[in-house]
Amino acid sequence: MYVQLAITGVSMGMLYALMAMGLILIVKAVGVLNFAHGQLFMLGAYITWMLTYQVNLPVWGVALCGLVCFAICGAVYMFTCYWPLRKSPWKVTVIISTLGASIAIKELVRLIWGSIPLTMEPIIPGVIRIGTAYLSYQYLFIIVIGGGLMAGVYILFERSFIGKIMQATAQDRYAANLVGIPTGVAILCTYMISLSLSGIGGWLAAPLFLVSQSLGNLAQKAFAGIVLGGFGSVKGAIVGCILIGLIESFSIIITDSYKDAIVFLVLILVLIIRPTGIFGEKIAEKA
Amino acid sequence: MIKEKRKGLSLTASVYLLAVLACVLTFVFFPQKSVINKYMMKVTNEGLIYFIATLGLCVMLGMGGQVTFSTAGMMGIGAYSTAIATTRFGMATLPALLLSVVLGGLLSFVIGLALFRLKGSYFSFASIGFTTLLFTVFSNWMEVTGGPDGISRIPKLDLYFFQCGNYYDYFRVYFVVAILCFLIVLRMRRTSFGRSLASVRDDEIAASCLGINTYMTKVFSFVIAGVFACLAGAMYALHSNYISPEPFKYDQSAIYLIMVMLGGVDSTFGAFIGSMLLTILPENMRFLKSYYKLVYGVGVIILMVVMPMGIMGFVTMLKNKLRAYFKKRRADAFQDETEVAQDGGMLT
Repeated sequence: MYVQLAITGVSMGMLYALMAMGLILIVKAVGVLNFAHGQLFMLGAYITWMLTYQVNLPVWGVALCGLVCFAICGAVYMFTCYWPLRKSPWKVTVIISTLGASIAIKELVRLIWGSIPLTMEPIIPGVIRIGTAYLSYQYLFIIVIGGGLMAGVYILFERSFIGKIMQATAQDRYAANLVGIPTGVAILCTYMISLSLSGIGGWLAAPLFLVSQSLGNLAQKAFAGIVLGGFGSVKGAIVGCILIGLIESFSIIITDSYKDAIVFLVLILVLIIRPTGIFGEKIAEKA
Repeated sequence: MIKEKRKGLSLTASVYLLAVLACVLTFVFFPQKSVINKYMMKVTNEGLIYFIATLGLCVMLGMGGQVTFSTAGMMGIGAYSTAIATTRFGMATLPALLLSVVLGGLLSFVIGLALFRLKGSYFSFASIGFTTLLFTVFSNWMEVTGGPDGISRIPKLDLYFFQCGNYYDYFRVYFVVAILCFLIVLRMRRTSFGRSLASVRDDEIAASCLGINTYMTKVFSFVIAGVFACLAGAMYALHSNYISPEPFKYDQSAIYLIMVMLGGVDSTFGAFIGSMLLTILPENMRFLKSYYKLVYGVGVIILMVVMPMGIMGFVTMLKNKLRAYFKKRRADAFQDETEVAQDGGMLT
């Protein structure tokens, strides 16, 4: 039982972490909180559902076409919700526009695919037996794919040229411009990667939950994971999200209906004891 | 140049006079069956309730620059405590309302102390967590909150000298409360607290260098927002006589934020325009049917691009442009006059 809870917890944490990584990348690159991230996650689930059941593609086709779709969505999203507002003196305007986008995406999905939840077959069907517990392969698949993606993003940012460009843009956009880095392109790439991560997350989550508009609410756990992990570090956010997943799945032992309450209660308690998050260090603020 | 003393009232005084007159006229003539039907009266009352909740956000966001998602949660605290005090413990409505406001103030003080150890975006994330936590409690604690069924048969508001029987009576009471709250926030901008809050918004480090306790300033702004939200929640419970967890969700908080931004983030009156528009407009947009929400979402994005400071910000910008234009014209006229005078002087 404990093994089963641990595995489901880690895999749920992986899903939150995929969202949290995308969020942190955008926060670092342009300093904007993306409140539509949950809805983009949901959009990912719907797009992959469409590719599987309406276009009838095999799994690798879904993955490939899905990635292209997510990248396009990222570009569209960036040019509607960030680009026209980039010179605005108030960061809050961009936040509000992402709130508007979250409403618009939710409604768009409802108008296209209806409000009845859709079912999706697991990508790898079947269950595995661990001791006395049965566990579907999907959870293990999520852990493997999630871990792979995280490693991929790490390599992309630390080892590749485009990653260096994105990091430079995130650190100091003005200086990056002076050196001749096309910061617009770098921000566009960041948005594309961020949306692809959450889209893949949606694809992975779809078989576990139903494909419905309430998938977007999972983003709240990703927010919690970011706060729990620490300030602004991708590593901290991943660990925080996996912890959130574990807390969530182990809280079933105590209570069933208060699962969410326990997660957020732990979050607030941690903040009172250690306001910088678990892994956060006190960083100097920009004056 | 001798400054000409203007005759009659100055522009500001006449604006004030007009505002008072408009309020009195609204109070006397608006809540009539011949002017407005019962349903629209109910919607307008809800608009007033949302206005009081957004006033709190106006203090937090417009004056303090802190994005918070706790409004809906705090409204829930106000609504549920009023409902429980009146239905379970048989309290009269007015003491129950006051009790819930005090309770909300205390709770938001404690929560504010915890949440403001975080800064900026992370505070916003944590406030989402707080609202979700409250929503989970509201919808699961069957014995106290009634779970998803909510609490029904909440008594009508009784002010001892005035009993609210229908929505028209409610409008009169809520209108007065809303004006009082509006004046409080308007006055707050000119206190030292309001100024220190504005300095925290503009530059937190500079503010702390000036000796402002930025942490406690932010906590107090959170308490003020919490009190306003609790008052609004209590008024909501007494107005609709039935509450369920649904209106106190995180999504609703986002709508309050949009209301403040629509009206104009730096303006108290803007909060009124924003909340009224977003409550009454949907009733007149029925022809859009299922596309309404999509239009609404896209509209918010467009609004932020076109009018980043909201409607009142747009009005202020227009006013400044007009003022600059008139100033320039007057200055030109004055210059011509002096030139003529100088010429005349040289001739003689």
